[in-house]
Amino acid sequence: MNKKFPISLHFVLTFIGLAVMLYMIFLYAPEEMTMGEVQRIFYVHVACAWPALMGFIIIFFSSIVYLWKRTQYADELAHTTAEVGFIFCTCVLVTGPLWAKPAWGVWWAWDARLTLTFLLWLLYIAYLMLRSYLVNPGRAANLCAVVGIIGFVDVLIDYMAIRWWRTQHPQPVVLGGPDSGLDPRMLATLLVSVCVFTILFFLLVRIRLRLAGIRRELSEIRHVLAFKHSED
Amino acid sequence: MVNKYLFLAYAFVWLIFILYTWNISRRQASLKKELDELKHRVGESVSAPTQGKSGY
Repeated sequence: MNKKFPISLHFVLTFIGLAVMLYMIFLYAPEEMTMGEVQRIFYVHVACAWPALMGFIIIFFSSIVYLWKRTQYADELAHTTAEVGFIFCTCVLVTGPLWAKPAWGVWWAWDARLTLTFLLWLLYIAYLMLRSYLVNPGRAANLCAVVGIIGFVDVLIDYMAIRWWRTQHPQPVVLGGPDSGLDPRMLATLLVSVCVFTILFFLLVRIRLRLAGIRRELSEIRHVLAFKHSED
Repeated sequence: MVNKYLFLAYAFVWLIFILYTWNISRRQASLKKELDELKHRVGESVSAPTQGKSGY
């Protein structure tokens, strides 16, 4: 992966993507008739929501692989993804109310979608807290894998919430019902934003995985040193 | 005049990503420093036994 797609190229691709995305959001996409400029929050809000959900999907599969095969990489990937996913989920929970206040007149409503997204954020926190506070790394990995698998249920319900129930949160505009849809320029901007934030998500995961690699190397050297001291 | 909610939303998103990237690079620099020190110590401990024996 590193040789085929070096991280420097990933950086360049992300920055070009971000520049194109900003151009499309502020200059290419038309202004929405009823909400005006504030509707442009939608592009970054949805673009952050997708990696936030995808993060937990990766945690789910990595956790299964870890419990099944006991590979350290799967555990590191799950931990890394949780940290990056938490950042994206926080962005969703901040940009959402900033759009809701001018659109609905309130910052927050306890409807199914909003509550389940808040629950997803709490699951990310629970996952990261377990990692930090459990002293035994093996036990932390096992417990986090269980949280990762159980938490995935929330992702599924969260995704389907606006399709199953009538919520304050808008109905899906992409892959929704027959009445859903967007202006073609708005749709293009949304799709570009989602792609760029997905690329950004994987870039951050790769950078964070490097950190995990250094940490692993450090603990291996510490073991070697401790072994040498015990021999002496 | 840019809408204040729009400005706040985009400012927050960029700020959080910049802070997170800065945080990762800071952690990476500190771990790399620790790793280099330990590697140096491992190198010393490999050559140390002969020095130690000759010292006694």
